[in-house]
Amino acid sequence: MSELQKSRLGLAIGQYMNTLPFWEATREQRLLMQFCTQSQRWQAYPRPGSVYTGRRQLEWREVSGKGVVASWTVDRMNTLTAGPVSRIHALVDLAEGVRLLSWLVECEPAQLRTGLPVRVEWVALGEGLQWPAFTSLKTVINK
Amino acid sequence: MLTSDIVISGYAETRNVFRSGRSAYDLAADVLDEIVRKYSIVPADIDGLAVTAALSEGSNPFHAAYLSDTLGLQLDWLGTGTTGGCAMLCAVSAAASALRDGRCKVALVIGADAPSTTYSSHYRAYREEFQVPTGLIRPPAAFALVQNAYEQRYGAPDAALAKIVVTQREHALQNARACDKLRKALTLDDYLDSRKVSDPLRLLDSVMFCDGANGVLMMRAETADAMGLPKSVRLAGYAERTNHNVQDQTPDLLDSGFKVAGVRALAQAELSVNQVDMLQLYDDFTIAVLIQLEHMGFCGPGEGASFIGKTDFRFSGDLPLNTGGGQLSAGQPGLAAGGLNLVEAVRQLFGEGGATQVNSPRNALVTGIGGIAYGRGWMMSNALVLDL
Repeated sequence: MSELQKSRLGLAIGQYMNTLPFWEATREQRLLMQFCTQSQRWQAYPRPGSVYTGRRQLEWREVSGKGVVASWTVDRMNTLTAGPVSRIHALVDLAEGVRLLSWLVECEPAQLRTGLPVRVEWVALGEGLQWPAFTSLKTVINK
Repeated sequence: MLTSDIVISGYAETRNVFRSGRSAYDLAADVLDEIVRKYSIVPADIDGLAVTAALSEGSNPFHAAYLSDTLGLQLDWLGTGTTGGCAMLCAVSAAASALRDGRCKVALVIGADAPSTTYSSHYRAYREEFQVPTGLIRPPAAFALVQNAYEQRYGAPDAALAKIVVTQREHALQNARACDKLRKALTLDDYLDSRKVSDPLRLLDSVMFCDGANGVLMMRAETADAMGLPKSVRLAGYAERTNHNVQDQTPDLLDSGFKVAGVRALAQAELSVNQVDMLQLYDDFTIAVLIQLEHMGFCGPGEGASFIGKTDFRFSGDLPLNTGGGQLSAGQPGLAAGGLNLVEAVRQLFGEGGATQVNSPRNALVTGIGGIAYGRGWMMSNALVLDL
């Protein structure tokens, strides 16, 4: 068992399949997704085989981290995330053609719309690991 | 027509109770007791059993075996379903195949669960690694993503969702088996004023867990005649679709397997949508009811709100919907929820609907929704058509 799998963060890392490349890359703020080398297409969430071919010819490759919002919600009953600022859960479609479940940071709910351009914004989880959240491109430019 | 000689000749249902303190086994025994008593049969008449998995027994991988043993049934066929809200209709389909193949002669299909007393399910798979860390773990938030996508594309269907809620609540007020906590009258304003639990989804768009059990007794039509069972409904059509368009990694959030399964089930039953007498639709969330109406062809994409606005869904109306109150207003007995609307359909077609009896129905469309999927609406859609 790797050090990552012994993480005390409460994350179920690498238990259902080998996802260690994804997690190791988050330390360097690089977002890796699975790429099917036979069909030349991306897939997410990570799966043990290609959703296109059924074969295990998959590679972890870095993606742009740019995408658009597919949908979002503010869960007001979730005690894990409903702190002083409730988390904006979001589905983000990456430019590579995969959808990620994550959340938005530094975004006003009133400004959100389907198709809003966003880019990855890393959030520290602890032990050097980071999670790919997203923020609107406009917010970044205005900084 | 493959399913034409398979019938449902009996049904049973417990009351839906919030925190009953009971187990799925104990509740299932109520179903067997009612079936045996009401139809004057003995356990030895039953040689097939299918049961849904239970949230309250989630850590037991031998649940179906333990339940059959607990009920004292000697079986020649035992099926189980791990397809969530689709499990009951899947079990009916599997039992139909077993009956047709001669594996058994009389099959009992039971849904029993007690998640408001005990919740012991662990999903594992990719969920703990790539969904749980985001904090999006509750079904209302997942369906809110779908509802928001609908609102962004077509405008907020709030008045239509309110009408579904109020109509079903009126039905539940007349259903003695509905959860006591939910048997309170609601107005359209009550719905519109209810708090948003996960924008834009309101508290009243969502079901409440309760405990309960239900079941149907299935066999070939000739067996029902030989046993002298007085009433039967026929399985006229069934279809399911799991992981609809799974290769599309940025699927339309407003797509679902009902576009295939609903249309196929109706075609098997040789019914057009305007010939459907009654809808018993899976209603864990109001938006799911609206989307099913669109996907099964009752109206076009984006037309759900106007269709709901102009349709009378009361038991006495032109297209009765969830005449027992549905899960929204009778309560969601965990993974037995798929049986709630199934049993109501059978009850109505038997003419035993009581205060909300539909006038002389000839058929019913029953549906199931199973599993919240990553990045798409839901995993599984199934549809069953019953007729006389």
